[in-house]
Amino acid sequence: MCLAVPVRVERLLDNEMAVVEMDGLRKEISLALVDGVREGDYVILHVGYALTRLDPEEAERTLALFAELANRLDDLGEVRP
Amino acid sequence: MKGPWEDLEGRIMVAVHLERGYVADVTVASTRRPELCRALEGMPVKAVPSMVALLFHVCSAAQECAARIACEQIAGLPPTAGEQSRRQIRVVLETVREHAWAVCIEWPRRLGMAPEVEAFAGIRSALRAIDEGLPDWPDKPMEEGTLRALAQAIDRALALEGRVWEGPGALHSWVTAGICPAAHFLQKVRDEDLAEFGRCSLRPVPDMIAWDLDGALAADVDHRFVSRPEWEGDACETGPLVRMSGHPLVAELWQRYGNGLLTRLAARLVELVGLPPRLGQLLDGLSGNDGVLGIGGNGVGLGQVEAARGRLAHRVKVEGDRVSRYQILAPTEWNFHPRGPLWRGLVGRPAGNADILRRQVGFLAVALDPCVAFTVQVT
Repeated sequence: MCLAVPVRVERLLDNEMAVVEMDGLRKEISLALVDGVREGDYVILHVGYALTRLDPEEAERTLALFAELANRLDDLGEVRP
Repeated sequence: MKGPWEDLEGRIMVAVHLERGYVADVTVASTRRPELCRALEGMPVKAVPSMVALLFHVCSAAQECAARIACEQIAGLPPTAGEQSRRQIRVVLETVREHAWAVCIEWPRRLGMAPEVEAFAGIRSALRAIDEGLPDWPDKPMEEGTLRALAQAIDRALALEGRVWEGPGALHSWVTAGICPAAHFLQKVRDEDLAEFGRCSLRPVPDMIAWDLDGALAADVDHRFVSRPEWEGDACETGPLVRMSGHPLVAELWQRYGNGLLTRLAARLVELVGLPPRLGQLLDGLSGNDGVLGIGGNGVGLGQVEAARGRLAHRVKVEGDRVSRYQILAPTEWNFHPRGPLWRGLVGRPAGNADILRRQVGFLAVALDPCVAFTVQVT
């Protein structure tokens, strides 16, 4: 992903795979490139691979920032997704 | 996953239209949103660079570097030489990572092969070791061996075994040996006679056109320029092919095959292999900051950086201490312009089988390396 939006690891699967959740949507991703990911952690994704693990606090801060930026776009009159 | 954040990031959609066995037209559409950086407007200018670093993942070092250069023009306070070099080194490390991602993960996926996850992880770990030494550098020299470890990890990923691609013959031998996915990809290009696939005439984004670029961005009230940039009425291209066009192997391939698929892929490989020595020069203080440029004045700053995929520009305008306007012009917008390399390189070609063509157009799009997902449709 071009933008660094954290996604939450909902469930660990076999073979270094996991199910992530973002905005109510779920997807299977690979954890082959990051160590020590646990359920509830947040990761940054890039085309199906988790590349960076974030602790929940750091992730919440980043998600709040994205939400704030989306609101700013509203205020500026830009169409948000 | 198709959700709000993916919508925010956008994607590229390539549609190839056939008529009577030829490519009649190519539509390159983008749902990317270059105006998203307007969200930075109203923020204190000093908060912008770290904010930018948090927002982007794929090219965060280059984005942060361009933002810092732009914002520094406002205060007129240039960074120290050491800080400039550190930024440049981080951008080069990121370029290695992005090229390594392409050759280890993306290229094999395109071929239906298993990605070389371990090879990529080895390169990433070597990059991390250098990055971790940067805060104390140059006071504390980089540990001996860190750079060598990176060169070795790249050598292993490409199964080079110390080979140097001196010319097309040496490249051909490496391709024929075909031990790694990158060599397989070039084998495919050779076997399917695709060396010239996508060949066209296209000018590069002119070198550091700072004041002209500043003027074009200043006049871009409807985001048209940052969405579909042109120079003097022409679509242009930027990235490894342009940067490596003077390399002897790339120049020779260009002479034979133009800017077709083989030359494009070889340019990325040549750049990847050449980056550890480039890092060595930067770490030894033997190379200047020739990949970055900033200009500014009267509350406006422009920063340009050669990112992994090509020229990246940030422009900031300030009122008081707050951002009143923020613009980003990214390389993907140059390289996936509706009249850019895909349109120019494909229209008028004999089409053959639609499924095969769709796969081959996918190869070309991967060689052009957008920073977001893309789809190809042939109708």
